[in-house]
Amino acid sequence: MSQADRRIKPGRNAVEKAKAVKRRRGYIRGLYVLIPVIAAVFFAIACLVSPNREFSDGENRNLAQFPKASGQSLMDGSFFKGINDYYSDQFVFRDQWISLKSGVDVARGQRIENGVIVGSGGYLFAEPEEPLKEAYEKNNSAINSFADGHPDIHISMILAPAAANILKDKVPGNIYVRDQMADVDEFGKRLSDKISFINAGNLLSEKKDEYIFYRTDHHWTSNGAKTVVDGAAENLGIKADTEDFDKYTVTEDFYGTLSSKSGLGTAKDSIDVFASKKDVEYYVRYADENIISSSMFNSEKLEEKDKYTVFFGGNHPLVEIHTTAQTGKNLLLFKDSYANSIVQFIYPYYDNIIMVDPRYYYEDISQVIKNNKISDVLFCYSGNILFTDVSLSDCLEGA
Amino acid sequence: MVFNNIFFILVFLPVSVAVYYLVPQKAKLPVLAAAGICFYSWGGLEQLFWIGISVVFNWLAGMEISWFKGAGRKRAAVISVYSVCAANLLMLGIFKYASDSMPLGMSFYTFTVLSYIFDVYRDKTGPQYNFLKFLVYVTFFPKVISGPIVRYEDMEKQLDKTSLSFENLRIGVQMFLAGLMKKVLIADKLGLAFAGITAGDSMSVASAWVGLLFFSLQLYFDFSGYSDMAIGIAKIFGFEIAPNFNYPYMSASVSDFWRRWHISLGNWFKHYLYFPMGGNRVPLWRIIVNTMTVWFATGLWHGSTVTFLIWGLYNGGFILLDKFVVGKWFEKMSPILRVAATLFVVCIGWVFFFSPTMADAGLYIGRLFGIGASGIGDITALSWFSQYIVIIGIAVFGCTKLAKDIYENIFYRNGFGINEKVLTGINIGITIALFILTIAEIIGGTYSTFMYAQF
Repeated sequence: MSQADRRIKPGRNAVEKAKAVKRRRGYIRGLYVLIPVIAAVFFAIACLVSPNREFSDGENRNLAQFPKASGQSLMDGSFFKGINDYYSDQFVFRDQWISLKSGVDVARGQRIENGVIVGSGGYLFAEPEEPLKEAYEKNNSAINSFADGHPDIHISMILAPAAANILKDKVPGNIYVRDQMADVDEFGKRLSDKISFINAGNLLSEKKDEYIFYRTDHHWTSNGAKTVVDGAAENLGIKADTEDFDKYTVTEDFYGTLSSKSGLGTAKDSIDVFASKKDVEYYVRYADENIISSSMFNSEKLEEKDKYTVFFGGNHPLVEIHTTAQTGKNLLLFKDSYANSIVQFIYPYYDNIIMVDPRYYYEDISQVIKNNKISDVLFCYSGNILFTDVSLSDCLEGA
Repeated sequence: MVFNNIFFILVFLPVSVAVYYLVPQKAKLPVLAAAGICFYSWGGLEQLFWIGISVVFNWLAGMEISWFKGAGRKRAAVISVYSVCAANLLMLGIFKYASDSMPLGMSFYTFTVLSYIFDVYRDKTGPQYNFLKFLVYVTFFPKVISGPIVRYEDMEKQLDKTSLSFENLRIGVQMFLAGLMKKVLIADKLGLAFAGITAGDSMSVASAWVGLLFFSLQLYFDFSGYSDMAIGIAKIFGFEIAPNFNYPYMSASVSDFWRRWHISLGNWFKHYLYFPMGGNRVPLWRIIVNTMTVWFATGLWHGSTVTFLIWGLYNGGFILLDKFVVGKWFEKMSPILRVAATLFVVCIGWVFFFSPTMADAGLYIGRLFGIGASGIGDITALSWFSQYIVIIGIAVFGCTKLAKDIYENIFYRNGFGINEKVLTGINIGITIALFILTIAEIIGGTYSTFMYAQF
């Protein structure tokens, strides 16, 4: 039988088959119609019933509310855009949808989610930043000229590469990771001999199997900070005995900023704080708010999303710690947030510690040095900040 | 508003469909016009103003041209067509090249209107005296943003009688969902990957090729996904729009590719530019000029930069090459080699399409062949390729007809002889899962963190 014949006279079987195909196709497609209909009705009801959320902790931003109509906003379309934003920001189970998206991304092989490296063992890593030439060189030469201008002050620097450069075996092998360890070494080499330089990466690498970095936050843990202080004590000119501290676990329910940024809740972290067993009292003064506190730990922050801010309640332009140590030493600490968990281990060795965060501090630093009779200066930084932010060199200018 | 907006999918579309189906036959066109206006005004009522003027102008112009022709005033009709055409192109030009706020889909809108004017002039159809019907034709919201460009000739009869049926609704919803998933789950993901791999200052040969792969797949899934959504929505409303893509990456020559990629635009140029210039029934040199004119115009339609013009001429050049020089010889080659060669030419062409300047395009093409590249391969290429391997695999597979055949064989022909209920369950289960993923992807896309203060 030729092909044409077959087309003209299909067998009984073929007709049956064609009918079955048609029936199935219609049936399945018919059910498809239900999917968007059910979804539309469900989400319409959910949107009306669920209360509006004001703020997203994970994103650290205000969520869109229903827009106000005005002549202007109707004409330029911002009112309608506002409705779109409102609908998606107030979408029911929004956080769960986002987690689902991130989870599926990782499951199908994505290893960098919203700029966060997804490592093994529940570890998330901030990407080690490529140094910006301007920031790298300016900060370096600013520190050198600061040292030249203050020959009588003992100056040291603790610089930490990103966690991904230290916990290398937890970083996926198929992605590019900037070797910040080398950047840190190079930075140290370019500093003058007057500065006692410590690459914290070397100290931390020796203990890389311990809990030295949070799994879901870019900061080192208190244990990591302790490791660094132990190793750096000689350079700092202190006789630190970090065994002489009591440990308190203040939370076991910490999802850090990397968790927020990626939308992935890979693991829970715990935060420890330490208190010296020595008989040294202290109080803390926050210059920006002129608040005095008897503790460097702010337990209110443990109720919030970013629990790392339990140390000093986060970053401030200038914080003073006054102690009863009577060592005759006064420390000026230039720092980013990594240093916030260092101070708990070094306060017993100084009479006064002045913490300055150059990203928020715009006053004349030479006055601070004079008024507080500064004998020691410590620069404590992470590479991701120091190599990309020029505020330190701005702050040191003219000091 | 765009089709992959969550508000459109879950509110605007369902509400307009529901209203459209519920109102009596007489009220259906007004509802459709209202939906179109609503859709358009989502970009701001300002835009409505210009479109409104344009719609009224063209509606009157169509009647005028027809009246001139009826009265035997041929010259007047010709002058009228030219001036109306010029006015529309001028408006497009001003919005596209000299203004920073172009109404949505202005290029598509203009070609839609011109199609009407030309069809009236060529007596393919009478003028549309009914303003409502004319309004629905030009503001028909499924196609207003990025096509397909429906010729008036093809839509005229449907305006008189829309064919609402459960069958159309079923097919329409399926097409819409499929297009949405193509856009959201594949194209947008590959778009991120393309932006990522091309972000650095240097690129290896391998990175350049992986980047080109990302872009080529992204463009196809983005555009064809959007067309599928448009055709699907149109079908839900009872309108038939011809397919805009036909597995273009399986084409066996560049000419073949352009018969299968953005078909509606190719048809538009064929009917309203190439044929009126004489088409193929003219001496060789004229064919060459005509072809290059069409491709110059195609480039210009896509954008005003030199790169688009070069891209247009590049494609025109290969089509002529195929037609007059290598075609005979090319046809004897094995199909696989022909597809590969076509892909090669087309994808290199995309470099002009995505590069902002000719210098950038030159640099990128150089890198593809090792000139100015940072090496043969590097971790960047490996990193992006391996992280997106699943999506690349699905996308490449989806470019072939095989994917559709296998799907139909399993689920419609029941090739595995599975229990009917289980078969349906699997199909619907997969679709629901993908739909949930699509929503997660859209909502996840609005996730934006402000982290600086926390460092």
